[in-house]
Amino acid sequence: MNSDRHKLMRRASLAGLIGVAAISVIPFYYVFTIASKTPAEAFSASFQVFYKITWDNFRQLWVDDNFLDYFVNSMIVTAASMIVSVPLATLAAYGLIRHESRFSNRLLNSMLALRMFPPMLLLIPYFLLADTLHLTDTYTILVLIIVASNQPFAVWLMRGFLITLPKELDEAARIDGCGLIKTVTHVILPLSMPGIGTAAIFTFLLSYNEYLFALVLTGKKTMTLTVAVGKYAAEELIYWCTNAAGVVSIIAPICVVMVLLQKWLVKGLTAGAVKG
Amino acid sequence: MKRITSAVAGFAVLITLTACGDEQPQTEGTNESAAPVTLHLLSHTYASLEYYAGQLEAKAPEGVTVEAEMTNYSDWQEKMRLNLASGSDSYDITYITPQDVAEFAANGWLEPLDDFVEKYRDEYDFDDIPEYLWEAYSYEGHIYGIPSHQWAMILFYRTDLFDESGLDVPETLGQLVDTAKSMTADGRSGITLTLAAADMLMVTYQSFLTATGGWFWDDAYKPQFSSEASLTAIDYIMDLYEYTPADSSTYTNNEAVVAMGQDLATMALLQTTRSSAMDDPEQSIVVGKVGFASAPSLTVGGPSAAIWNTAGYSIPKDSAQDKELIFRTIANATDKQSSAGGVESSMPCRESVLTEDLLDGRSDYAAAWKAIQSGATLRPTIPEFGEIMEISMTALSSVITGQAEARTAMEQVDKEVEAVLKDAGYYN
Amino acid sequence: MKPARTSRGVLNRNRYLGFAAPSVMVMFAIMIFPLGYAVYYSLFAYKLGREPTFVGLGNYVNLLTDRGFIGAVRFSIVFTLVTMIAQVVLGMAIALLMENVGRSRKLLSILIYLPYFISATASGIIFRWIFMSDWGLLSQVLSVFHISSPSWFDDPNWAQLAVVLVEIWQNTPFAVIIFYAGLQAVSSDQMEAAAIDGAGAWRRLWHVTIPNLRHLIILVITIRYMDAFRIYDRIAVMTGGGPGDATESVSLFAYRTAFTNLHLGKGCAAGVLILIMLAIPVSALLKLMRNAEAD
Repeated sequence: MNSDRHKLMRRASLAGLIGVAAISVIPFYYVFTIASKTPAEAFSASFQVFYKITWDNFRQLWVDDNFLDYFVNSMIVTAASMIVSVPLATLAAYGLIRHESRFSNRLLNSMLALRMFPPMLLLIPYFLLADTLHLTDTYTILVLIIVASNQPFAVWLMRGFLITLPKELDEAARIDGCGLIKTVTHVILPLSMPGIGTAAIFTFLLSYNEYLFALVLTGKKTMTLTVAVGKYAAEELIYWCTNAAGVVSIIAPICVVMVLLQKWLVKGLTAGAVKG
Repeated sequence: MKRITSAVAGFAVLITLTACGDEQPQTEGTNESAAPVTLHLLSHTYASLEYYAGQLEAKAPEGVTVEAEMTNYSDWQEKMRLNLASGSDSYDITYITPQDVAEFAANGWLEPLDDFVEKYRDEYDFDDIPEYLWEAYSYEGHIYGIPSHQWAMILFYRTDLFDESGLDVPETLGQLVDTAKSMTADGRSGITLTLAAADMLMVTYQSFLTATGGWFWDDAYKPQFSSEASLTAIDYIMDLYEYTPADSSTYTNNEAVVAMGQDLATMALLQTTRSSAMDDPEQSIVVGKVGFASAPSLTVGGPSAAIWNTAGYSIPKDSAQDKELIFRTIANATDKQSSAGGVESSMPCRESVLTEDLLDGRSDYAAAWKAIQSGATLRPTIPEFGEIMEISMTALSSVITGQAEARTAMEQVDKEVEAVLKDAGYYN
Repeated sequence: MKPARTSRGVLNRNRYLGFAAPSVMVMFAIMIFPLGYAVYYSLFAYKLGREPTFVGLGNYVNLLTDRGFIGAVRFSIVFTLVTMIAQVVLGMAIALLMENVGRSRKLLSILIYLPYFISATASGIIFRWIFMSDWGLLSQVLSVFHISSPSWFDDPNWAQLAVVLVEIWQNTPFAVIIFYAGLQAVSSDQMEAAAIDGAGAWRRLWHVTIPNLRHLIILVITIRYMDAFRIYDRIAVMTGGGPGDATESVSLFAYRTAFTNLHLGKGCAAGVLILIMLAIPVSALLKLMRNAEAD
């Protein structure tokens, strides 16, 4: 009898999840149809579920507009952001946890101030900063700003993982003869790999989808994908379809990355998250 | 583990070095004869602007390369403002409208072009461009931009449906409302308007205001949003709103084009830049069935319910390149030949291109030209107009969607706009 | 729990601070100038390109009596609270459902997380198309069932509901990811003990599961609170703040003030007020989290 109830619960849960997944996916199906139809078909008052796919909009982006260049720029910025941001945040979280004082607590709290300010008002000072340092249209400034904007959340996230690692571990490593550096690289880092994976994923999403700062800080040389697609935001009906193709093109790599890293995501938060 | 860490560190260093190595000087020497020069353009984008950007690239003088960066309007404005305000020399040519000329020139961000216009008047036949256009790009007596194209609001209508019903194309606003009402049938609205606050609604509001003979302020710059002319204009808009498709209060040009092109509306008040979409089978299912006429006026013979506007190019003052060279580049791209080639996507500025023949072949341009001659107005070019538009059109949007009453809302708008103009020193 | 005050102990502790140094330096270097700039210019009447004039707290007084600002704050608070609660409840519910399902979980979870992967602007455009009358997807689907779709954009209430729904659609996965992982770690011992004691499923949920996830819930609430309050991109694209100013959030207001109306100083002041309005509840939430962790 108990296993019958179990089965029922499983079936009901599955049904519920399928419903949620459907709600999540249907808008993506819709934007794909808009991307693969002509404007006359895409915005028709009688929506056609079966139609002949047009690749024109994708061709416009990937062939005519040299999207590969922008894609490469996005990848460079994203990779650099991840490579710089995650280790920095991990070390910082570790240091602030072990330091254990009101000062480190205050530091942790004040980090969040950046996340409390409307980002568009920071455009001008960031631009002035970049312009004065002659760093406009370089990868450096964009990566720097993305890393700095991302640090607060990344540090707090890593803090959540590392806080479950008991101090005894450090002491055991010390007894075994490891200096501070070795303790970190040989003991702490391997155990927090899953957490690092999670932070990497959030950093990836943040920097890949970055638009506001990328718009004003990049020029022809370093323009990222999001900004390049932004060109199609409005003024022609055809642009709507091109824009839809842009959305589909931008999300495709994310899905690939996520499928690959999904294992890490679950394991990561699992190992680090809560107190048993 | 150690190897991975050092590999990661090495990679990070490599990336940073590559990034730094990518910094190349944006502009090169100002030696106009010998060294190759790259001019950077930042521009808004739609069909006509893409055409003219192409012309800038194709017809650049010897030794000059033009690199075009195209974005959408609000991003262009944001980016250009930041660059101009910080004195950056990143851009040498910028897309410009009369409204932006006013703001930028008032801040001293644009290069005055009077001397160049004089010098090259004959070579490029600048007299071919009518005075009213040069004035649109002037601020305090100096010219700051070269016009490339223009447009006006006209009435789009379904020739087949009008033939069927036997109704005449409306010539007055009253007739427009009546026609919209009788043309509203199952699944099809009588008319579609662009009513999205603030920019598109201002286009529509100003059009009706032109027809009712009103203006935003009187000679002493006292706001007139609650004047009789303004309230009459608002009345007509609200009457027509009844016969527009649902969600019209958020309609921009694209939504209105869809409404017209998908057989969801019988008439539309739209710009000439959108007319070619009607006959493009990839964008419309009513190909060959859309005609164009001047927008109706309050009474027969009065000013058409239309605004006109124009776009061109300006030169940032802080550009490090030779200004005369940039001027010639722009002039090349807007000369008679380019203008004639651009006729497909927009109304030319040059009288020699805007011929009787052209007007015969393009009824939309003919309707627009008629409107311009009969008193279509240009959006005010004072720097404060952005704020005035925001205040007034947010209020008007509330009125249209039934959240506020017209007279009270507009009286409040008058008060707020008066405060803005007062702060800006208009009453001294 | 402070380590013993030997000279060697103090030395070791400061080395930990050294680990945090690079991160903190990057953060504050990039943070201090912009925030300082904004706070500084909030005390001036400043139009980009003109000379700023000092007005002290004038901008702040102006804002606190500005009908538009107050309306935006009211909308933002309601928007934030509603979406936050919905995301936490739905996030938890979905995470619990995922617990009960076996192998199909992997594919389903990627599909469920999809909304979180696109930008806010992208979701704004997509749902503007979906909600649009006549040709939008929703209206067409509803008409198949002979239900007439409301005018989502013409009516202030429907417009507000629309932006709330899209926010929930896009950001609930964030909560799901975090809660699901948290659920993995709830000790199975505790669950079994509760089951043996005769507690039904609801009892176990309420008295065992949720208390254990207390501080994760607070973390999600804190992050979502800060982000929902500052929402800008999606609303700008979806409704433009309309109809009228029914969906104008505080960030939209700040943006318009600074970049459309060209009152940079007043816009910065709005930003500072937003920061204050966020700092107070967030500090309280963080304190709550520390207390939860200490248990």
